[in-house]
Amino acid sequence: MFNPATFLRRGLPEIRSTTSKSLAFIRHESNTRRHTKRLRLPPHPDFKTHLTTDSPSLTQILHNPPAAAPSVFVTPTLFLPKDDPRRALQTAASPINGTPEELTLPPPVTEIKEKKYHLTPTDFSRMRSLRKSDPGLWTRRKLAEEFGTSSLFVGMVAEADDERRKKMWAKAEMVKKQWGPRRRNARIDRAKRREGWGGADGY
Amino acid sequence: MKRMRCAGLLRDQLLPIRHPSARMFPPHHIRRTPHFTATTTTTTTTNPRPLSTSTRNRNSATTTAPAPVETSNPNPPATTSPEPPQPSSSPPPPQTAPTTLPPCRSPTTSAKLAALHARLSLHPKFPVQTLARALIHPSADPNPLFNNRSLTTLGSALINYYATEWLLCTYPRLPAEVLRAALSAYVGAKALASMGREWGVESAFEPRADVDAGLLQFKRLPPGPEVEASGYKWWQEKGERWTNGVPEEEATASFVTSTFAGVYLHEGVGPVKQFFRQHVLSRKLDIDKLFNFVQPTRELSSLCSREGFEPPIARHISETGRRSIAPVFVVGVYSGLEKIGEGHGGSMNEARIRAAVNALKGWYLYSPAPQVDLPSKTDDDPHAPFRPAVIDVGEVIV
Repeated sequence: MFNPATFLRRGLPEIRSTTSKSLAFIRHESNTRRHTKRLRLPPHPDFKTHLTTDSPSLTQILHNPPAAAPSVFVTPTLFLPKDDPRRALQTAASPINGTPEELTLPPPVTEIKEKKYHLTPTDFSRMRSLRKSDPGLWTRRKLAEEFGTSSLFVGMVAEADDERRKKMWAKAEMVKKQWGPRRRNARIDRAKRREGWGGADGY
Repeated sequence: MKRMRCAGLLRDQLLPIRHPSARMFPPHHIRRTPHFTATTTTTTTTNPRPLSTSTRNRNSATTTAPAPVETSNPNPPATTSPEPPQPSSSPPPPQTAPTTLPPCRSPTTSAKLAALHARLSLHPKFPVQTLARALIHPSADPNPLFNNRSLTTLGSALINYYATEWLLCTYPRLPAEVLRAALSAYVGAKALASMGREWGVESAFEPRADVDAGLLQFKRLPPGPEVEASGYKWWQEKGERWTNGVPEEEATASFVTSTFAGVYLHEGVGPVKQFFRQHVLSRKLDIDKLFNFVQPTRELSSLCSREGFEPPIARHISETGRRSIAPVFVVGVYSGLEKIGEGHGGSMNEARIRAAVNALKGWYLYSPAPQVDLPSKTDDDPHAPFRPAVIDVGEVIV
């Protein structure tokens, strides 16, 4: 007697020539059931669908937006004027409301440095004269160590003269000339990406 | 003087510029009346005036102007008017048989113009003749009584004012450069030209005498290398600006601007503000995408010290995949206990800088909570209740 199912099982492996093993469509386990079961998760506790005593039936509108980056059009509370009506609303909704001492802020990205303000105008003039006397010896870093400040601040107080600046620029150009195409292109790409962070990449 | 010039133009305006032999359309019998200077020039403007573009013709018109003064009566015998003396440089063109123009040349009988009028939902008080005049760029017809230059001047003042006041009242802290960019995005030539295309305005191939009155008429820029700002040099005189022709974008923008002026003149202040809201402010502009900060972290520090906030500190909120090819870091900028910005990026530095950028955008994109009243609200009703705009101290200078 002709059984079409048997015929199909025998015929198929020959058709599927790409498979090395002879396969038959025999379902040992229900895939659909396994996968749907895995997806069956309880809602997140933040998800406002669970019924409470205040709202036993769902007659209100539920607003559960997906997780997203905050919008720049929502002005931070600190930036709102004193008489803005949103200030009170946002303060009431913020997590720091009420218990500021219990609040733990996330760790800072870089070490927080307290500004010392320990330098006097005489220090500034001394810094400038040292820099002028021998810019090769009294570099920004060395002056920063000497006066206990940052090299950025030294650059602001005691700028190098044009001769020194040209010399260092030429030196940097010489170094850049030594670069091969890969390093040069990588640097160019990096600079482009960095420029985009300021908002130019539109994201 | 204007009458004389008009009459002179009437004679030789039909001199084709490039094809002197193809003189097809002598003066015709279609009435074209300018609508705003009609009281002074009614007698001259009953003359039919197809388009003229040639500077040479204009010059010859001024030189030979006294001759046809007598012919500029209200009903000139257009086909039989005597030829005024020609300058010696240009011989008189051969006379051809008078040809009647198609009815679509007249604004009142042009189907395209009526359709455009209906499509824009203009009030019946807005005559189609004004719409027809708005479609004639000065490069097609240099006579200010017939082209849209005066309408464009008025319309551009109107829309620039309405756009500026709306932007300044909605985003009072916007930096000047961003404000300029947003202005040009709303009422710049490109935006207006795209608006004109959406209105379904088509351009005539050439500003000839027989084109449909519902087509945009301008002299096209000849093909060639790209010229900056339609070939206009700042040292050039205004009259010389359109001798080479203009790009279609500029002509379309001038039509759209003139339409705003027409709505203002025929319908009033209220309707033009509504027309502006419906056609300009209804367009979506991502103002937050117009910013580009060079030193965002430094600018944020200056902002905080200027406003007396605590100095901003970048804090590491969360991260994922630090050792993977695509890590994501989330960094927030805090001033004291309050978070003023949050950013994410592929590196900690990127996230930190983006957070500073977002904090600055949050400052600059502040908008007053109940929308303040625009100053133009008191245009039609001086006693209307008015809530003044917020005036900010200005952007941060690093």
